[in-house]
Amino acid sequence: MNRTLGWLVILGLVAGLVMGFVVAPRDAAQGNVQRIMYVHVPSVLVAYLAFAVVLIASIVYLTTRREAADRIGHASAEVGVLFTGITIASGAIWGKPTWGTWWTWDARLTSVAVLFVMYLGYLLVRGMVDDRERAARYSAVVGIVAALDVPLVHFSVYWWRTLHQPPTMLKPGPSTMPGVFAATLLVNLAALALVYVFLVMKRVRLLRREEEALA
Amino acid sequence: MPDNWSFVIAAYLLAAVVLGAYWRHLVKKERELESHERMDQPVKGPQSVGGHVNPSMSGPVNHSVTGQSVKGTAMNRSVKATEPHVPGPGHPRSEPSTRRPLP
Repeated sequence: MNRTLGWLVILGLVAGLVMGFVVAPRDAAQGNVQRIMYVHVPSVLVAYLAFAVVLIASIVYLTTRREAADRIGHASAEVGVLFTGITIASGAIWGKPTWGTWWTWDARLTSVAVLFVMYLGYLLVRGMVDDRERAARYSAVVGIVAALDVPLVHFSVYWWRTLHQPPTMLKPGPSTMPGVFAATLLVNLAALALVYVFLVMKRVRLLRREEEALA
Repeated sequence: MPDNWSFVIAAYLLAAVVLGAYWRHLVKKERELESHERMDQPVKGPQSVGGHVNPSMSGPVNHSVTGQSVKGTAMNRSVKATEPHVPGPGHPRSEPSTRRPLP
């Protein structure tokens, strides 16, 4: 199962790279720099997925006290922080040639930075509290509170005037993106979602073994 | 608009480095856990039954044995180092009356 998933991840990443660099054409307005979109947008969508999993796992843990839920939340938060970091960094790299700046205190960028810091806080809480049960309980509360920032990030481009463009995916109405661009984006999204599943599964297994070693 | 390939490569490389570094971190953690689990088995086994091994009595460490046994011996040495030194029977001193003066 694990080996199969590993091969699927490699296949998905190769397919994503081929789609992004070979199949998808050069953008008429932005040129080749637009290809950053194929790593930037899937990364943030996978981060949303990761934090949704943290939210569900946190609620399940607080209601049932199942350690498996806590482990899933912990692993998903770690991987979600990674993808949020990739989103911020790739966005900054994309922003420099298109906006003329690496960073601006725009509503979308700021809310993503806050999201990143909140989930770092989630991981810090876990590390700071020695008692395992208390750490799980506190971090579950942080995981629920931090998830409130996800809709704020997504809708910030509608609620405030921002430099950042409106969403290209997860928006009401039909897609305005040409087919080949949308297909490339979807292939890369699938590839990064597989990476997410693969990493979370491995991390959950390691967390279980760590707990068994400590017991 | 210029193509800015360097920005494109930088973005993809950065993503690859971040995910690769996390993967390596997980693999390293897994190896540490495996070695920890292997190390735990012999320490719990013979020591709980026979107590710690005195390195001065057991002779030189046999490095050809598995890492588990070497690790167990090293641990015993650290314990030994904290104990007061008691002279063993290996080097008996002659009585003063039987000593001969040096030529």
